[in-house]
Amino acid sequence: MTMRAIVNLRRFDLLLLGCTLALSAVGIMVITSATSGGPYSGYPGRQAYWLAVALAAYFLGYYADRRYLERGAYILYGVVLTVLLALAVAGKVTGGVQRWIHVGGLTFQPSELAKVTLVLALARYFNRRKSQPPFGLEEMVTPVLLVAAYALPVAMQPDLGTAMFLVIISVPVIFFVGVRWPAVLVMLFGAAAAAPSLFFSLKPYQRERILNFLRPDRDPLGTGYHVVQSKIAIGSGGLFGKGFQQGTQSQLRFIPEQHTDFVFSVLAEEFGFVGVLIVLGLLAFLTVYLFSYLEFAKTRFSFLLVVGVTCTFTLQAAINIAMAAGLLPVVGLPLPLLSYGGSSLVTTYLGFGIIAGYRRRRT
Amino acid sequence: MDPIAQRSGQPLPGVERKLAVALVTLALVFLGLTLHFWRLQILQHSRYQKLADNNRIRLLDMPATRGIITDRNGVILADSTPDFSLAVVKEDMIAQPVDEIEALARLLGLEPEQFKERYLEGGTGIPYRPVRVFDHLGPREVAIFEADQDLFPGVILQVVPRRHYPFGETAAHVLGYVGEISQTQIRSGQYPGASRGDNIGKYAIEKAYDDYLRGKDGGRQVEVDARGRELNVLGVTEPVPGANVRLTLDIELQLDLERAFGDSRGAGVVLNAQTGEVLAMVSRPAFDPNEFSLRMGTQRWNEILTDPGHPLQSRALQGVYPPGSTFKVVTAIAALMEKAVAEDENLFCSGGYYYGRRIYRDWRPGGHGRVNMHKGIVESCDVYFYQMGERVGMDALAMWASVLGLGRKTGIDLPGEAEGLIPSPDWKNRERGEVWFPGETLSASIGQGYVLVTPLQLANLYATIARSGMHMDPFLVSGISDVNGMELYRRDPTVKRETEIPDEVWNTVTGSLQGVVGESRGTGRAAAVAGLKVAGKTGTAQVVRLQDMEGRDEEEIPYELRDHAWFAGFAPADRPRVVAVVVVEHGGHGASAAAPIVGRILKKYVKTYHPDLLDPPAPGT
Repeated sequence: MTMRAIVNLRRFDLLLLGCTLALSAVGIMVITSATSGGPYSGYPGRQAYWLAVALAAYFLGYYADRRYLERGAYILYGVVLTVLLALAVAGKVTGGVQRWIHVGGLTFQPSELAKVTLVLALARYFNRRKSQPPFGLEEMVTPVLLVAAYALPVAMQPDLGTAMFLVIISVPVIFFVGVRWPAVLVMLFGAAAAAPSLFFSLKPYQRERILNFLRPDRDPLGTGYHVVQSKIAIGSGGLFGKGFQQGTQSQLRFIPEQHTDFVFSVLAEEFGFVGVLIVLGLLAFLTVYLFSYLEFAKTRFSFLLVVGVTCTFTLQAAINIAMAAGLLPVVGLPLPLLSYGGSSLVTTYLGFGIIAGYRRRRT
Repeated sequence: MDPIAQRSGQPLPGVERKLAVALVTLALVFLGLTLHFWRLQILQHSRYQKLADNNRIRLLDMPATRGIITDRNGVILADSTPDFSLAVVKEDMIAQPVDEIEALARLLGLEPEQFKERYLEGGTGIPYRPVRVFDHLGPREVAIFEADQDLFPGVILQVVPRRHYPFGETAAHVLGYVGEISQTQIRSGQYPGASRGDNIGKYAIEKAYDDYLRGKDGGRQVEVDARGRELNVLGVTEPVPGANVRLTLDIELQLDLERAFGDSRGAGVVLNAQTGEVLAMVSRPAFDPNEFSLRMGTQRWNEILTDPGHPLQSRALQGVYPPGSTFKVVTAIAALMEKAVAEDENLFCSGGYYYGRRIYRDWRPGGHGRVNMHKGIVESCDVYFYQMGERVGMDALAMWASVLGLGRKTGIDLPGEAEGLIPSPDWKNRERGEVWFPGETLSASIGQGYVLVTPLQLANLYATIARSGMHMDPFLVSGISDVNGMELYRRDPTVKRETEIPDEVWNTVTGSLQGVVGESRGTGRAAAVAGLKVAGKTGTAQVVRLQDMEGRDEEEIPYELRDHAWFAGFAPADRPRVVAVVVVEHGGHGASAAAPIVGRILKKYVKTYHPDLLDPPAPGT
């Protein structure tokens, strides 16, 4: 029933690319506003350049052979894992933040790519199980290891937000596969037991952020300052906003990280509640539309791939927006399609291309 | 078909239901987000709008420039120079303000404690208002701050006018000084619109005319960025500079008179004999008012307060001294008016006068022989005036002293004037509960004992004599005009009151005063200057009455015990234009220490303003 309702949307097939490009265009516009007159004023141009690369990635995913995609899933997973481990080790050596690798003058963030390769690896794993779901505990050992092997080196970069997000995107995949309740309880218990030791292995500034989220009045001028300024930007935008490049909070640099993590605050300030509604509407529409591709997913692998890519996109967007609005701790997670950053843009387009490809092949 | 795909192609169970759960969950998430943004952007919009405005709009003070003080010829005696300050906007700071101030103080090489204190005391409680913490920064400190400005968000550099006195110590007691307003003064409501860090007049003219001089502070509304840097000016209320005050002083005369004192302590007053304008008013030792406009440490302040010379005291109007023989004119007028003596009655002076059980000595041990009124004044015969006092009686003497303006304030336009003292039997009974001894009348009649005057009172008395009994209030401010030159206040000399003393009496007195300087036996010959007829009277005010000091050589007496030297005079004697009074503390006899100063200053004035009144130089000189 649900399926039937959303399948009808597939008639507007080009809508996927159209909506995606529309959001990307909004992103470049907001980035333009967020960086104008500052040291990053070249960023809108660079984002447009990355958009071209992302389009190429879209078609790469679109035409990729599904069999090789499934077979190569572990290899891709392994390549990205190697890079992540290498970065974690390098980070230990230099003592600095290691998130980017440099390829021919461009920098790339492998942890972004990890979001796709993790979904691929999980989909392949569940695809090859001979037993019927729901699965028990023994089938869940490998998925937990697959997730943990990515999350730990990313957390060490340190990039707490992405590490936690890698855990989060495995949830809908496992949910759609089906796990027996005792196994769910054991995994939840294990996560709860690991949380304290994980918390104390965090960098002090990361701990601060979590504590400040739990008690925002702790330090209104310190790390809590960012959220306060972001909320002021959003709230002062009102119904119609202050206008393009007219946001006082953004133009006067009161919003931190305003072209990446807090790009939505700039949007909310300059385009108001109307702008927020339009972007939220586009995001929601894209989500439903991406789910509609489940109709063409004839294998468990392709089914889980559609679920994984869609949920990666939607949950990341929801979490980022909730962070900017002060509903979640600020942990550094980009808003897909809108935030500045080539890696995120390319990865998102690549995932969308893979999903769109199922309509062509119906496999 | 790929065998693997085939094998694993089995559909997952319950997918329809799971998709519904997922979509409903996501729909709730998006609905929640939408509602949250509705709350922030629509329901709480005005609150956040205000916060955004507060973020970017700052009200910055533009302190008014204090009015200029000039002398009678327009020479600037007090003006303002730009001064650099650092102010703190608490809301723009990332760290604790106190920590940041401490770090900044250390960077500038200053002791942090007082600045932390200033910040804690200075908070207005109004958000985003800069609190001035560091004042009077030198170019080096400004350069250090500007180099590292980015390390101190919320600290802003301000330019504020600082009071400057180009002549330093000169006329310090007339001009006064400015200082930071105290919390008590802010709360008193006498300074509307004043806030912490403002400077107000704290002494003398600066204090008395503060309302005119202070002006009205303006302000600027500026847009700032997240680091507190100014971007745009949204609105300006221009400050209104203070009005300019013109004094009656002549700075040249003032400088001359001050220099004449050298290192001696004392006071001097020069008045325009016709108007009561104060031409010079000196008090030594003095202070440098510039020090008060700068950062003055507690240590330096205590040093000034405990200085044995009391540099902050304005001796000219606050110092009370026995007038000594300069008072004899009062006794003379009283005696003549009470008809206690005829002008030409001769008394005999043997060098002392027996009264009661003791002998009242004359300053000249051998005596003056036959003495009439004229000789009594010219030679300052004590024995003559003892007898005048005895004949007139203390009550009548006090009455005439009061008629002549002693024992009460002159009414000069400066705060803190002393009243001096003219004693009477009533006064002694009332204040001390003691009986008046008749011998005390004798002491009073030569200006000793309880009689006390300020140099300004004495100058005013001699000005009254020079005007033949016309009373006038001495004054310092002749006019006040705003920046555009519009006159706000003008002081015209006003005749207060005419005494009913007839001209014959004045002629006798002025004739005798002329003899003091001009006659060969006059005690004030030292005041004589070529080309100008000077009238005046010497005085020696005893500091202590020590029998064993009498007859000793002046040089042998310890400094603190030496007498104060007075001279009061005016010129030209027949058409008085200028009056000068000088007291040199511990200067010994008036004739030697004070008289030459007065003679010289009188001549300087007449030469500058009334050269036609100078006598033509004798041929051949």
